[in-house]
Amino acid sequence: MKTRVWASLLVGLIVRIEIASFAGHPTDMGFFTYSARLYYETGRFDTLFSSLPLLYYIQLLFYSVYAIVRDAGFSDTFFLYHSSYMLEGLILRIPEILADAGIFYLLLKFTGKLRYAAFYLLNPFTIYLTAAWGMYDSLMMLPLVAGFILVSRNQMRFASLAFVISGLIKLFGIIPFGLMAIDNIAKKRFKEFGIQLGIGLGLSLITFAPYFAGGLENFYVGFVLRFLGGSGALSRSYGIIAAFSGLRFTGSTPLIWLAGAVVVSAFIIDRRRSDRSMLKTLLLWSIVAAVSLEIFTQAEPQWLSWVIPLSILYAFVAQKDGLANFTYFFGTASTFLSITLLQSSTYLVTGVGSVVFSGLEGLPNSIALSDVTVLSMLLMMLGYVFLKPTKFKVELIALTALVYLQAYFWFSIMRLIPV
Amino acid sequence: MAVPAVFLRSTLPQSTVSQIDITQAVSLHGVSLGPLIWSEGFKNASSWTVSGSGSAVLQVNESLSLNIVFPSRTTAQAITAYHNISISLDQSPIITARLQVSRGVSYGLRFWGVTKDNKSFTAWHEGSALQHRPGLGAPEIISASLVTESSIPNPTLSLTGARITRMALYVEAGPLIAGAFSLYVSNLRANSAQLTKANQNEVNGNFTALVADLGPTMATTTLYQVFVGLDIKGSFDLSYVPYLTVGANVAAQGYTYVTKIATTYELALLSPLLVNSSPLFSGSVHSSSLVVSARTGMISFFRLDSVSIRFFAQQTALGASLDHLTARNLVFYFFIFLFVILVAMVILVVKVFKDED
Repeated sequence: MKTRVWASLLVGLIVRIEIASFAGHPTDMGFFTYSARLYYETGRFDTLFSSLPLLYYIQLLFYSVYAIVRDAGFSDTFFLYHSSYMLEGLILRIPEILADAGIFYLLLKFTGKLRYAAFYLLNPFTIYLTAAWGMYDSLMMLPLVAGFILVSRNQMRFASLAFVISGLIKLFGIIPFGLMAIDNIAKKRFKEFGIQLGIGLGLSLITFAPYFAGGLENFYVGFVLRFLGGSGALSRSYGIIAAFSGLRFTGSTPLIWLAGAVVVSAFIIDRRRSDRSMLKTLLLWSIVAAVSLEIFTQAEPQWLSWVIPLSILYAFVAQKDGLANFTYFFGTASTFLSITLLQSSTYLVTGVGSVVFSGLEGLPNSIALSDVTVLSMLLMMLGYVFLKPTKFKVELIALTALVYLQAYFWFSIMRLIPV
Repeated sequence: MAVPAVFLRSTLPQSTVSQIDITQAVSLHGVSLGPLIWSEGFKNASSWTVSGSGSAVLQVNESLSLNIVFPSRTTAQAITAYHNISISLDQSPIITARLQVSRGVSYGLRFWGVTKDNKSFTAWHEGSALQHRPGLGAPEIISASLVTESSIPNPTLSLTGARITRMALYVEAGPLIAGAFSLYVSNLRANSAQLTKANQNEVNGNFTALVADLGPTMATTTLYQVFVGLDIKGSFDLSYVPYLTVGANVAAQGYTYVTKIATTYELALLSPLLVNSSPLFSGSVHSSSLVVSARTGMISFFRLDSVSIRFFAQQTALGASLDHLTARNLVFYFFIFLFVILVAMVILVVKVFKDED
């Protein structure tokens, strides 16, 4: 067992490091590189950082290793049209790679099944995000997974702390935190609620404090409104509603509030009426919330990764082995769809987008094609979550392929789309 | 790790990034459409001349109607209607045309002028929103600043006292496009641009654009992002686009923004990668300017809070060349790691799965 664990871990890490050494999302890596260099070249702290502050602190810590290497005289090199140097880009992704290894460890420790842990670590989608893209969702998911494991041990205060840390990296972590808070109120555990709130506010204030220097208005608009879907910018959306209506939303569709109300209400009813454990209920409705965000908001492709560790955990606690198997297929298919339909096969590799597989990429209405296929997979996932435990069936791969081909025919060939 | 992060601050020897913060604009103007300074009455057909390939019938009777037949050819064809006008650029004229052009062909407007010293100049350029516009087959209104249209192709020319003296409307068809097409112009006029100078950084009124002069022109080769903190109020349907112009060129553009219920403040992001249009009103050709242009509705209040201009010298690998074959080979290499090795590992682990179960 030990050898297999090490072999799986080694393969997961080698693949990540190799891909991270040359690939990267030019725009997103550009954001991170700029902010890190601004600090280490000019001494300026970037109060206009493109993401939540905790990520910036983590990146600055790891970038110090790179600063030491560069200050010692190391000359880094560029690879094709990428925005960061090769070693620089790799070091910026070390925290995410370590987070992936951490999630692997936690899943292995909690489930005792290497297969479940490998479904995360060797999942093409998590590798694609962490290593190829340079996205930091794994950093958010590490404390998220830790939080659920702490819930299973009834260590609710530590779980709250873990969820807040997760939410301070990417806001999704706030969802289980919020559901726990609602449960505390519903069960009149006001002291626990107060402690939980104190943890959340205290940590948030400490994290955001340096950003107040950039002005409270900038903080309010640049962080609070932007991350809560209240931005005034009519920016790009990958969501299925935008793809089919042609509407541009400022952040999220108004339907997200309805979806949020449904999730919260369902969670409360579930807690009152069913005999499910807190862990099961929390996992279940966190998965539903992740799916709702994917359907009703701007639906960034990287958000699809959130359901992977959650579904693996739920598969274990609810004894739904088929769901765990499905997550691997879901990740592989999502990687294929994101690369071919939302970017292009060369984009992350060379730094510029171009079409290599002409039948698969550069297609008309490619976002709609991706959205419909992803939606079908998310519905299948919800089927696994809510229906009686069933084995993973190969027919689901064929069904997904059929949905893809149908969408391909109607949207990309016939171009039948209402916008 | 926090210790090196603190002590190594600003130690990197390279100088690839920088940020300039501007809190006070040199000047700020609210701009709106002023009085009518010129209008074409379409009363005299002889003042219009038509030339080009294909056959065309021009009718001028309180409107202009150009009916064209393009024969099938392997090269592009065009018909142009010329007209002499006289519009002073000192009045910052905004030309507006209400017209309709058949689908399947493109059209455009071009201008020429003379300086105070009677030196002629071209007042149009390729890449302008006035050129090669696809016909929609439906009525549309197009507008453009004649000062901007004149400045872009003549960045060093003094336009003080200059006049626009000639204009052209053209319809063009690509190779192998044949048939009957039409251009119909119902209104052609020019209004002056009315400027309201602001006290310090804020202005009240009724504007379609705000122009803040940020100082002398800057090099834009390494321009990366611009963050603009602004306070804005306006009509309920107000949507606006921020631009950074350097000279007569748009160096960066933001998204289209709408007003929010929660606050009137906005932190707008502009990027050279977002440039896909140009503002109707622009700043001085000798300055860098922030232009906030209303797309719909009117602006009633504007306050410029901050402008942060970021520069990022991004290099590419020396001798980087990317042919299709190299790109394809790299993608295959990438896929080996992303899919093939993992599939191989999964096959290996299948045995592990079985052992576990």
